[in-house]
Amino acid sequence: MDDERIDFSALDPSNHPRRWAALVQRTVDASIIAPPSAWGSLVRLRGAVLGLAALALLSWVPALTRDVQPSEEQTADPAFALMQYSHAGDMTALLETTNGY
Amino acid sequence: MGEPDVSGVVLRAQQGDRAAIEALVRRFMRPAYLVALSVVRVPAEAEDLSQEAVAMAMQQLGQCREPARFAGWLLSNVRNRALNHLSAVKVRQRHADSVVLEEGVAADAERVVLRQQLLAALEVLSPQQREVVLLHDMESWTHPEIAASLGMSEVNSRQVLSVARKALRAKLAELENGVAAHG
Repeated sequence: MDDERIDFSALDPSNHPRRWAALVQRTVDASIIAPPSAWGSLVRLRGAVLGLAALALLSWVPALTRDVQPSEEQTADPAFALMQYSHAGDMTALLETTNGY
Repeated sequence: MGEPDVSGVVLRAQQGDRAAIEALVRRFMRPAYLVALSVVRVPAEAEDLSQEAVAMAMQQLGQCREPARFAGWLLSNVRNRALNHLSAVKVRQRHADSVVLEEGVAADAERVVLRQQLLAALEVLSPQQREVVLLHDMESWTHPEIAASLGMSEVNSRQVLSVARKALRAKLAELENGVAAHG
């Protein structure tokens, strides 16, 4: 076996210390990525954001479709009657509340 | 090199710890340079390639799934980038010119000659032989470390080193005789 090391010192990049130090520093700088921006985070987490938005929309569906019984106070309110008319075409409620006018 | 205790640093670097990233770069820049040099054999090219490859690898550190094998993963990245570069550019043709140019007037003549002889002698080796002999004799990596990083057995690493040294010595002697005969 050949146990004696070859002298590679002439090839050692540290022979040019400033040049080598600058190269290492440039590499360090290029290796450290800037912290992600808010937009970058949003793009990266777009799947989770879309999922949460879909969940929020779905949670509204029962509230939108459920048949809510209006309170007495509401039925006497012309604005509520108008809304009922525009929503379901319920003319009677509209007439009852506007009778007094 | 101390491969096992690198794992903790790699894990911290993967979590964005800047000090850990810097420590890894400073620790592995020379081996990366030597691997690039083993492939392209032009020091200036090896500097550029090792800088690009190390920076890119550090930015993609999440892809290093086995922190304990970080050195092998990093050097593999450097090697692949250097090979791609080599296939794209005919580096060999610029070899002789670049050695003279980068030394400039600052370095002493003896070192320039030695450097040229070493680079010329390295030409007789395979890229793997160059990596082994440079990592062992220049970076003082042990055979277990070289074997782990280059994906070979320790026995193979020892054999490769022995053959590489023998071939290098023969070539260096030949070059020395050539210089003496011409000088």
